[in-house]
Parts: sequence; structure tokens; C-alpha cells
Amino acid sequence: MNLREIAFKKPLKLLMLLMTSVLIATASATIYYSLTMQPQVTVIAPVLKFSTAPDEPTGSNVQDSWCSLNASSYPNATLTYEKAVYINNTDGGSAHSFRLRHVSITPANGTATVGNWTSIKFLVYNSSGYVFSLNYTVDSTNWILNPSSGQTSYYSVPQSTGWWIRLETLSPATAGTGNNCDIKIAVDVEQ
Amino acid sequence: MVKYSNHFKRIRNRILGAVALSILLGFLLQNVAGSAYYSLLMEPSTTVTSPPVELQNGTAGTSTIYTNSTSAKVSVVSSGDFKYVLNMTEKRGSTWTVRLNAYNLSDLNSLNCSIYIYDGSDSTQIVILNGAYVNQTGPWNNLNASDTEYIWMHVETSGAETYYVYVYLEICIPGITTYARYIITFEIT
Repeated sequence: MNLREIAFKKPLKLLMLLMTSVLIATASATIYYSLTMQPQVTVIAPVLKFSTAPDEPTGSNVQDSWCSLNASSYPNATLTYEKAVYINNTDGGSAHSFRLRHVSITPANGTATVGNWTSIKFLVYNSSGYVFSLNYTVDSTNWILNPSSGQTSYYSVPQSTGWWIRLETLSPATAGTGNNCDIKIAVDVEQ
Repeated sequence: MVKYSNHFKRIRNRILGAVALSILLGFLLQNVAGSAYYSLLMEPSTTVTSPPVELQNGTAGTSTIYTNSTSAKVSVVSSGDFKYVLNMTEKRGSTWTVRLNAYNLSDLNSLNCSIYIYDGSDSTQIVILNGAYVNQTGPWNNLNASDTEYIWMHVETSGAETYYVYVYLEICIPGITTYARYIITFEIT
């Protein structure tokens, strides 16, 4: 008797298909093995970190991985904080690279109060002189970043070496005293 | 014919496999290289503040004081002593140090000129002799709280030209290197 000829051949086929599927699924699920991952997370100070510098503006707060700088800006006069904050590589064995990356600025583009500044410049120096910078200049009511991407290239700080940020501010003659600009800049460090 | 077709399919499958493997490996390497970094955060703020020192008109020559009293133009005619072409007054109730620093000259071949700060005694700041700097930057002088000091100049010219000496008045917090620069233009006709 041919199996194809029996009346219940379709249900039988379906049943066989189902059993085969269960068999495959079971076999697939049972053949496995486990690796064990035991991550250990230790809190350590960053190797590249901020440090207070001689020209830190009054009222600033400098911690290892975070700093606020309360700078001033004078109308029609350039104000320079020659060494506003240090960026020290505390690793005695290796160089580490970092870059400056724009995160945010207030007042935002298109706001009339942006016109109270001409430029705010963050220039990175080492003992040999100027290295690189992230600059904000004003065109009417808009901030123009340089580099335009808002982030610099990475630059390598040799082991056990301190670099510093020179901060330059300039406001136009028409600037109104009391206006305030807040910036956030990330210092990205390659381990 | 079928044999050739199968052969090409095998080759195609191998190529596709290699491409897929390369892509996966590429992502893996990229993730490994890019993942080992951290970010420090810097939050600078800048407040527009009234300037610490105010420039004011002197009694000799002609001076123009610009908005906010942080830049000026001084004009003198012919030769002689010009006491005083500008005054500067401290406005914050703090002690500062000040000096003059010439940063540009124009057509000075026959110009002899000296510029001084007077605070009870003369401090020679800038000296130009036959169009060349003898002294381009002056020594620092204390400017005490609420004090006024004076800028004067001695000029000798032999030509009929107009000369310009562009100078920064540098105002520094004593003992550190934070300084403001005011632009003063001296015009000699």
C-alpha cells in the first residue's frame, strides 16, 4: 500500500514536519557551551587630567576630569589668560592623545545676545609654543567654529608632560556688561 | 553546461562569503580601536565685564576716546613735548601693572619719538630713533586702586609726512600672566 494513497496523508505529512521541526529546534538549543566573563571595574583617576594653572580665572573650579572657568570679556579689549588650565599627562610610561570637541554654547545661534562677543579662543600650548586651537568667532548673531567640524584632530602629549590652554576673549565696543556665555567642550582622550 | 553553472555558483558563494567575513572583521577591529577612550569636560563661561582701567582725554594734543574707554587715538602736530596726551584711571579698586607695547609702525624714516608713563616719575616705555625701535616694550608700572597715571610723548620730525605708531596698553594682574590689551594709535603730523 502506497502511503500517498491513504486518506490522511496530509495530516501525517504535517505531523512529520512538526516533529522534524521540534527535533531540529531541540537539537539546536541543546548544543551550546558557555564562556565565563569576569569583568572587573576599578575606579582610577584619569591619566590625562585637568590641573590648576597660574592664570585660572577667579571663581573657577578645576577637578581631575571636569573644570569650570569663569572668565571675563572686556568691550573692545582683548583679555588673555595665558595659562587658564593645565592638561597633564600623568602617565609616566606612555604618551596619550586628546582633542577638543565642541558640545554646546549658550546663547544659541540666531540670538541677538550673541553679538556681545567678537571671539572666544581656546589655544593649546606646550613648552615649545602653540599646538592647536578651538575658536569661536561671531558673525552677526551666529557663532562660527574653527575648525568648522567643531572638533580638532588628536594631538599626543608625551609621558609625564603638562600642556595648557590659553583663553582669549574679546567683545565689541557695543557689548553690554553682565551678558554671559556658557560653553561646554569635551576633551576626548585616547587611552 | 550544468557543471559549469554549478562551478560558477560555488565561486560566487565563496566570494560572497569572503566579503561578508571581511565586513564583519572590519566592524570588529573598528569597535576595538574606537572603544578605548574617555572624555573630560570643560565648562568655560565668559561674562562681559566693565574694563578695569579707563582711558581719558589728556591736556596736550588731540585725543579721541572710543566707546567704553578701552581704545583711543592721539594726534599731535610738529615737534616738542606733549604733556599729557592721555590719562588712565583705575576703576575696580585693585592694583594692576601697566606698560606700553608698540606692535606696528608706519613710514618712520625720519621719526624720533619717545613715549612715557608718568606716575610721579617718568617711566620710559617706547623709544623710536630714526624710524627704528630702540625700545619697543616698556617695563611694568604699578597702577594702584583709583589712581590716575599719565601718558606723554616727546616728538622730533624732519619730514612733512604723517606717522602712525600703534601701541597696546597692556594691563596685567600683578604676579600672573592674565592681561588685557587696549589699542592706542598715536598720529604724528
